[in-house]
Amino acid sequence: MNNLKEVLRPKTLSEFSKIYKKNSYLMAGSTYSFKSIENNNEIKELIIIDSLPLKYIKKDKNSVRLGSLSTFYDLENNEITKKHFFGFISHAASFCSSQLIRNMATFGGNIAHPNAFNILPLIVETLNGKIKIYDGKKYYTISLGAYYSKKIPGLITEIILPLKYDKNVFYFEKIARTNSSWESYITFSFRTGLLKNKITDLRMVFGALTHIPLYNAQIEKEVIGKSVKELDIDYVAKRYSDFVYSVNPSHKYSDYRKEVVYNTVKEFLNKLSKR
Amino acid sequence: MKKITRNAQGFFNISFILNSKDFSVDVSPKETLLDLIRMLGYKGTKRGCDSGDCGSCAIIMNSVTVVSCVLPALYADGKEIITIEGLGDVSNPHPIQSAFVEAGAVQCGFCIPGMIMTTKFLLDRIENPDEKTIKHYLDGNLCRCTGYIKQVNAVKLASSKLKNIKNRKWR
Amino acid sequence: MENNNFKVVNKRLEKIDSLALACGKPMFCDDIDITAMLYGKIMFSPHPHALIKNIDVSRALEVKGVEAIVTYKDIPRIPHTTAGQGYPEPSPYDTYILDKKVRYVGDRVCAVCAKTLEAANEAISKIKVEWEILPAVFDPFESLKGKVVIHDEPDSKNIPDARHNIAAEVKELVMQKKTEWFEEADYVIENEYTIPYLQHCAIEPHTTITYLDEYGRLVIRTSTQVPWHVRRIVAQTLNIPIKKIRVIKPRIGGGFGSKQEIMLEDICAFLTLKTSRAVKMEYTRKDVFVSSRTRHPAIIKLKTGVKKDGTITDIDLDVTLNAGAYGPHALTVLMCSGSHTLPMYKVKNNLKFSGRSVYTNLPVAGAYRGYGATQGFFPLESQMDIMAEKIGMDPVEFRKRNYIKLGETSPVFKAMGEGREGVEQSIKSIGLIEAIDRGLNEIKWYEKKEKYQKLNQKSSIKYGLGMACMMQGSGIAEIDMGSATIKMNEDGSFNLLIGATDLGTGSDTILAQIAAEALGVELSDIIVYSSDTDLTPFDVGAYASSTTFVSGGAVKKAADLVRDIIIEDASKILKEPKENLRVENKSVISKSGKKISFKEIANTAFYYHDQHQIIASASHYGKTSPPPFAAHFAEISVDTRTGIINVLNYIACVDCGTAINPTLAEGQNDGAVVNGIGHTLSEGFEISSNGTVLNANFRRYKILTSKDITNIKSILISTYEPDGPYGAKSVSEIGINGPLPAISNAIYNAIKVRLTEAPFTPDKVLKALKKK
Repeated sequence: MNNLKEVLRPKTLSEFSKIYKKNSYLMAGSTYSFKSIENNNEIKELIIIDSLPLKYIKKDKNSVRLGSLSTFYDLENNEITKKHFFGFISHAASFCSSQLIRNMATFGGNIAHPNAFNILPLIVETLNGKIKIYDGKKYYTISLGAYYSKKIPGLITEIILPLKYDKNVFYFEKIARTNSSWESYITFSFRTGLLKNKITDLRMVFGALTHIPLYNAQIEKEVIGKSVKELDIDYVAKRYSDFVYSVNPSHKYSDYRKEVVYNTVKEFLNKLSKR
Repeated sequence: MKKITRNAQGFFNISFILNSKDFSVDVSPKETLLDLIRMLGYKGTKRGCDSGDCGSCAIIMNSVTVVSCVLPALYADGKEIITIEGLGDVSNPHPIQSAFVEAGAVQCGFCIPGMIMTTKFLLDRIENPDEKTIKHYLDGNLCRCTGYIKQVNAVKLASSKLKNIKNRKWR
Repeated sequence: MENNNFKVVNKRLEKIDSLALACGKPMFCDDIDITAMLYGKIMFSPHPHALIKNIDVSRALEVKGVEAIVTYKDIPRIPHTTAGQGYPEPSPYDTYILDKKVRYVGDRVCAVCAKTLEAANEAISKIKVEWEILPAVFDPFESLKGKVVIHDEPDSKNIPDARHNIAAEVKELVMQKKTEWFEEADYVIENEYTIPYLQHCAIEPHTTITYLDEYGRLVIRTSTQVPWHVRRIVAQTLNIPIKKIRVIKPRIGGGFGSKQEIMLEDICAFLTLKTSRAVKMEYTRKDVFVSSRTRHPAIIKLKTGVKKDGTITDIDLDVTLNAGAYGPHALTVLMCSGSHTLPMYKVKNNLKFSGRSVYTNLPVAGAYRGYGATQGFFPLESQMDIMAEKIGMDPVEFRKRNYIKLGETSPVFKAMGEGREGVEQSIKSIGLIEAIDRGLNEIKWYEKKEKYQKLNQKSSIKYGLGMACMMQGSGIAEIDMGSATIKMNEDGSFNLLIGATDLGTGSDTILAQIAAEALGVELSDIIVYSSDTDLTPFDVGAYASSTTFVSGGAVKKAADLVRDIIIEDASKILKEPKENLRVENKSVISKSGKKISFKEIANTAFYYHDQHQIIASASHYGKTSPPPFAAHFAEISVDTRTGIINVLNYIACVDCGTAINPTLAEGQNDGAVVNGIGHTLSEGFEISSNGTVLNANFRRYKILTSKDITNIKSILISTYEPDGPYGAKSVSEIGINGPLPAISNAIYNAIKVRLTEAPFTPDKVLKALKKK
């Protein structure tokens, strides 16, 4: 940061729009930003966005809307995130690294800087959420997958999570060596719609495998619509364990992941069938 | 919108409140908030890892306990910061500080300022936290001396001390 | 002697520095600002084994703010050891402040000092080194073959066999031989156990500040456990007289053995001598992981024989340690893996120890809490369970009948010391049976074992209980010495000047408690100043669990001497015979009822009559090293779906004789136990194929956090050790030896899988379950 000339701190989105350029560097909570640009001498202007009015969690008729400056602490303790989706968001947010990081890390940053161990992308993907981005002129609302593949520059302003999944069954687990851990072997983030034993909807997302969350739409399509009591659970578990293994067969923990995925998917579906 | 431009000497001038005092300081862009705090003479905030993982550099910024070693000093502009020295002193310690002493939770003491700042964050929000909650809130403060056992007790003791003070105020 | 008559000792008094630390007072090494101080930085080697063909610092010297750069060409080449041990150190002299050769990724190449840290780092990036890469070796057994020789320099000394990379060895040491090997055994059990690279992770990184005082003397202010060894070795390696050096130890943020070493002091001092300025050097967290010290990784082969009636017939313990690129503590850790473990067992026929510490091109191992006993008890206490199961005996009964008892001795005490032959001794205090019984009760051992046997049949989460017993030492007999000076002030308070090094352990406090007890005053009447080579008398430093036992012995002696002077003075003032007088409550009291306050005695001595300073010094070294004993009990769950192990309950009962301060003793034990559980479940270096440590940070080298501990309890078992001050033994190391074997035994109890490779991470557990 030797060539940094200006530090700007916009207070409104309109001020932001006047100064934002496509390659502007944005800093929110700085749990990631500062350490990664410390030695970057290209940056001449730094925009610190922590004063923008984006620290909110609210609900409207159709969705839960999370402002991108909400921290993991907010997500963990807010009444809305604790209540809706059976507390899935709150539960998942509690797995982020450690308390001090949860106090600072914004979910916007968690999405903008992809990393295998990030938790917010898993939450968004599981809930089929949409991301709203502001490039200074226009707002875009896109899916997470589109965001990662199109690499749209801009300020993530909010995430929209559809309330239609409010009564689904959720499962979130981070498998790591210790209870408080930044890294994990694999992270499970599952959502099922269940109506009288019929699986009306399914999203099974796996984290920590690549820098973005993974799910297998093909397997989900095969399972959706079936009765959970008629499902060949062993077969589905094996499909998933092969899928996860195939992502990176030469990885140090590929065998372990294969086994854990099989055990976990099997147990998850078994529990569903007993509801 | 706040705008700070680098001056001819190469510094950014920032203003903030630290332990209830007003400060106006020239900082360099690569300086961390931890560097700045220690440079200003507040040695209670410690450097353990410089990567935000050990919590020894924890301070309270705008009422939230954060790790200061990953923040640029620039970030402090316009903020209100409290360090361990701002909580209490040996002649008049904060109840949390006393609790850590009485519970035998201080061994080498290096992690303690950070641990106390996190405890303040917790007790400001939850009046009587159970053990599980205490352990969840303290998980960003690493300690190798105590095994956390007496520190969890210290937080419980601090919580009851603060409750007594609050009750006394009402009488 | 009764424990309940103590007034200050054995009381839960507040540690004297706790409040200041809790208020963030500037007490640590880095907490001072010196005008015009320079920042020193070391350039580390990117190669595991290489020669410096050419080193060009010209571009680095041009960086604005750089004051000096030193390479191997600038420093006298004096072979030495960095190990903080008594002279003559039992470690090979195989290290040079800067050398032409680098022997591991992270080894020193050269050093820079500059006006700012940024300038120093920039300078390092501009130093050009032309390397001749040499083949490297990382596996100890491969290294023994001698295809790669790491220490081929002719001037190193005391390396037993440099050609085969042997930094230390104990050739077949047969301590007992009555029959042919395993002749009488009904069952012979042979297993191999491994422990990886482990780091202390003291939260304060190594920090040293050096400067020249007004008289041109070198002052070293450093985070160290061994001030006197620092002084001596810096004098040796920089060729300056000891009288020109002063070492001051401020408050330290933990050491656990990583600071029982000359880490930065030598190079920092050299930069100060070269620039005549104050220089500060502080390791980054990565430097601490890679370039300070670690535990010795170990491969242990244990072969034991047992009879159906529960007698252990033979023990053959063979230990291979990975010393890393240099050999500090290589011999002593190796020996302690036998000397601090084997005496606990009664072996009927044959007992043998053999071992070697081997050089490899990897980070350097050194002293770490447990110091070999940790490596030794993992196999021994695991195998106690295996033997018990083989003969169908309750593991508790099997242990009780095979452990050493009060009054007994072991051939190991004489045969094995720490680096040399040991000292014969017998057990004068032991609370092991009480510790076992208390722990069994606390954890509800038999009740839970029965419950879990039934529960495990239907649950995918399996539960188990395991136990382990252990011992350690209290200082090194006939070697470790500490001393103390006590002087009286006119208000009846005392200055206690001790060499003993408090690294957060609370030694300042407990030594003051010992002095206060002997002098008949309160803890607050003792003003402690410690670890300053100019102002306090000698002490070897904080290691080998010696402070309470050895330094405490010196403090008691000095306090007794001062008390005698006070009584002598009082006798003259009161005109009463000395035999009638005793100290109590800051006064001297006579049987006749006459009384005189300390204040009056001191004022008389300072000002009125026959003026003298009431002062005395004393030294002490242990003629024995009485072991503390402990019994640990672990209750765990194993999730067979994920392999994750949860420690649900852990009870650690420890007999440390009289606990001078029970709160501090518990605190030490708590920390040691949690550190040991970390070793067991999650810690360990990951090393690349070219010897680079891949997880040199707190994110990936996982030490336990508050969220990882459940119900862990330390229970002090009271005994009285006649050789120790007020009956005390040591307590700070022993706790770390329990978790590995106790949890390994608990895992076996839960899922009938014996894990012998630490750490027991989920992937290893699942793999072992699958293999079953």
